[in-house]
Amino acid sequence: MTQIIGMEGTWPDRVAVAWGAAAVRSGDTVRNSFSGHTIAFDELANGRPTDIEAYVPLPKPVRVQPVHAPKDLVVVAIRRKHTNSYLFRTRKRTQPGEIGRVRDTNTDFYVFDSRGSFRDYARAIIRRIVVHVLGASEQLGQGVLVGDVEHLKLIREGLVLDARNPYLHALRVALTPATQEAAEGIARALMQSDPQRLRTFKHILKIFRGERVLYTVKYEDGIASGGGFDPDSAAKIFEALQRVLRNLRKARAQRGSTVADSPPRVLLAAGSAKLTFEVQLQAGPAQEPMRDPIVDRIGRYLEIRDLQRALLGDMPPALTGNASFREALDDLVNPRQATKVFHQPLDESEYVSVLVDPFVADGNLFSRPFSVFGVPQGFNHRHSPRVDITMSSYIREVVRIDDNGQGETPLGLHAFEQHDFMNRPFVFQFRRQMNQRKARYKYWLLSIQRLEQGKIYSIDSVPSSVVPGGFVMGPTHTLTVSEDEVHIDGAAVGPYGTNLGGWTRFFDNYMHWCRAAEIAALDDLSEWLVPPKVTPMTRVAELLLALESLGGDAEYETVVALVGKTHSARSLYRLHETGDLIAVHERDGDLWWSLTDAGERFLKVYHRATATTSSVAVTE
Amino acid sequence: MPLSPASEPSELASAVQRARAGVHFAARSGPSMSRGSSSLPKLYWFHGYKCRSPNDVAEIVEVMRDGPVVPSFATKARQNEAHLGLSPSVYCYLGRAHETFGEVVFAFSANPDGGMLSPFDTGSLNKYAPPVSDWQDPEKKTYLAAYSWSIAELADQLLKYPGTAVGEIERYLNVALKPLHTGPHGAWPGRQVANIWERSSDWRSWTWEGRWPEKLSFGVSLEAWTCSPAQQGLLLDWATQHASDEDRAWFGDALPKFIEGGFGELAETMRVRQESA
Repeated sequence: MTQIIGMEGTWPDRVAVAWGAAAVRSGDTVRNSFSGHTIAFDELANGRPTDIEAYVPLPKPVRVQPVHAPKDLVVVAIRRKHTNSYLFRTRKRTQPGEIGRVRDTNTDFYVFDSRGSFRDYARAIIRRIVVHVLGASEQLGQGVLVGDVEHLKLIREGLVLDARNPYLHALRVALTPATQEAAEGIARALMQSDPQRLRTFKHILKIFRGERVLYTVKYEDGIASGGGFDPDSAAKIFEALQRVLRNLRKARAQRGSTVADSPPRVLLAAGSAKLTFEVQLQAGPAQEPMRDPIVDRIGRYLEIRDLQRALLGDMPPALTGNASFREALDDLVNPRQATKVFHQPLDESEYVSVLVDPFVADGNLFSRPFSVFGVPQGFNHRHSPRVDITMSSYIREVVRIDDNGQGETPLGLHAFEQHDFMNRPFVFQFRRQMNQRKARYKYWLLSIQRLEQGKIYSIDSVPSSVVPGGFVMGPTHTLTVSEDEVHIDGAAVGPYGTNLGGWTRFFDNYMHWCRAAEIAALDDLSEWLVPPKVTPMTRVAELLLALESLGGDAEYETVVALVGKTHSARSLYRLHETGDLIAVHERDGDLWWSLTDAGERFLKVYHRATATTSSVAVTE
Repeated sequence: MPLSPASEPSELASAVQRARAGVHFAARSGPSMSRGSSSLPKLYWFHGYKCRSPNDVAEIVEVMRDGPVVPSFATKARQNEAHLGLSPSVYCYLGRAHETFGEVVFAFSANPDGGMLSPFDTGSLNKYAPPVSDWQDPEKKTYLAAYSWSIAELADQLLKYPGTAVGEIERYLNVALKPLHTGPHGAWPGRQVANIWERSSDWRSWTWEGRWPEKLSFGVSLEAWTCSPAQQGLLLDWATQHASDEDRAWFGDALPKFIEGGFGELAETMRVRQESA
């Protein structure tokens, strides 16, 4: 029989709440539920703490059902006689993940089945504490905080449940004018490793201090090509915005989170295409009356933060499958194809592109996993960490590194922890997700391998030189690196650099190799994974298609006329010179072009690749 | 002196840490995890500690800053030392702490001078490491002497046990797995034979112990630390309201290394960190 007999740690008597790993007894041994370390029951002086072992015995054991893994159990303890201890207590069986509770004359013990369940409990309790302290310390709902010792004690108890909680730390700073600087320094040091919490802390502190917190969404080109919106577009944008905010607010309320009485203030300056969201309805210095209540400001802040996250592709879980929300979001950020949308995240000084996931659940196609050579050349940590990976002269993708598309991190992620990973050769494995309805796609990063000298790696895909943005999937190639060169299938592809310029030169060489590999791949069972909208974007392809349409043999001037004015005759002539795809010959004093065998194979690849745009993908 | 605002974190390192949180096994099984067979593993020393009073949190910072000293009161460790002829020492364990349930623990990377090493918890020789635990004290002392080295020899001895391959380190860090040898003599042929690793069921019998007479100082090599969750609010209050400016500044530097969740959480977090180092 497995039983929980205690909680790890010590519990100072002036603290109302404690928590820790469960001491799980099974026969003669007792296990720490977090570390898995064991000790003989006898070593614990028959279940009592010793001068070495520190744990708090339960008044009676809690039996663990076999369904609950003993690995992750958490015990929470509450002293009922402490002031405000009611804020930490819950009614029996009302919290998810609670698998048992026991009590004695002074103490309640709750047992949770996992740290996730415990964190949900902690979050709910901290929300209670914040609302309680704000309700009691705000002067007449006018945005000025004055706390007392009891409130600070309560905040301290809340920090037992979550030492890095940004709301509690902001309250602690705001309520202790005498030690404000010290409290803020400590909060920042604690949250140093968690930029998201640190940002929230700064924002909440600004709200407490009556400072402005702004968020801006900006439109360029398309519907904003004149600098401002036309009335029709403005109406559509505002209508979409209201739908988005309504959904976010509903989702927030369902989670039991703070919701303001009124939505955030949205400002649209005349003649501009910038929407500015403001947390405060009535701003003013701390001494000025008539400011809106702080709880409302926090509610609006959370709503704006949800909007910002949604515009970065991070939806509240309740809304990920909500088609009308996705549609509203899409209308907000994709009003017309030529429109670019940027936003200036809360409290930031620079605009960045919005990264809304345009996918809907019913229109997704996933490719099979494929591995390619690539070089990380940029990093963006805002909201979700992303790495900018160059895979060819045509392909540079920004991919998330905290999610492989299935909620897990990519394998080998630790390679990005090394300080010198930028501009180094890697093999990446991806899966492409494509939405047919929207003709959009993105890549999920599945695994990461940094290339080391003396080891052999393999890739099963190479970038297409025929269809920009596409890949040839199969056959497999071996990859090795020497001190300064990359070798594929034993042949040196070219020297690589440690900076952008060096890699640009490398990728020029690499694309030549890829073209040969791609044309050779025509004879085997390779597949092409190409972008949903294929256009002859390379000059070579454009030229070859024109020549093909003229029967594969035509006067040079005719080809140029067909291709159009976008390329000068000189540049076209130089193009064919560098390739082996077109043969040049003179006929009756005129210059004629004709497709070579390689040129014909190139076109075959092109047609085969573009014909399989959708069929190459494997639906899951 | 007030705490200066924390410098911006290494954005990438922290983002990756966040991305990895809770998904340790994905990283472990990654293809590029292999460590060169010649490089030494990155293992930390752990020192567990119990405050004289759980309310007295200032003591935690004092120990963290100045290093632990031999307790002035009677403990089991003093009894063990008397049996084995050891001078009163401060004990640390390599890769994990001695305690199963603890209050405060520090993990650090330095190898301070003056210490001695053994590939087992010396306390186990008196309790749960048969056949040695059944021997008389003089024989135990001889056995201990055969498997004691100065701390300066740590790198050489790690090559013999547990070794440097990824699998060997993972095995060492997994308390559920005994060493493949039946006892230390398997790793150090020619020395006294006793199958303590085979016959003991307690993981402390195959854990590297470091012992420093009287005092130990790990200074800035502190890598991670924790205390009981119930103490963390008191600790923050102490640092804000009662600490000297100097202590507060010092504590501010240690705070980013704080691991929340207590002893067990730190042990598990550091196991994963050491495995993937």
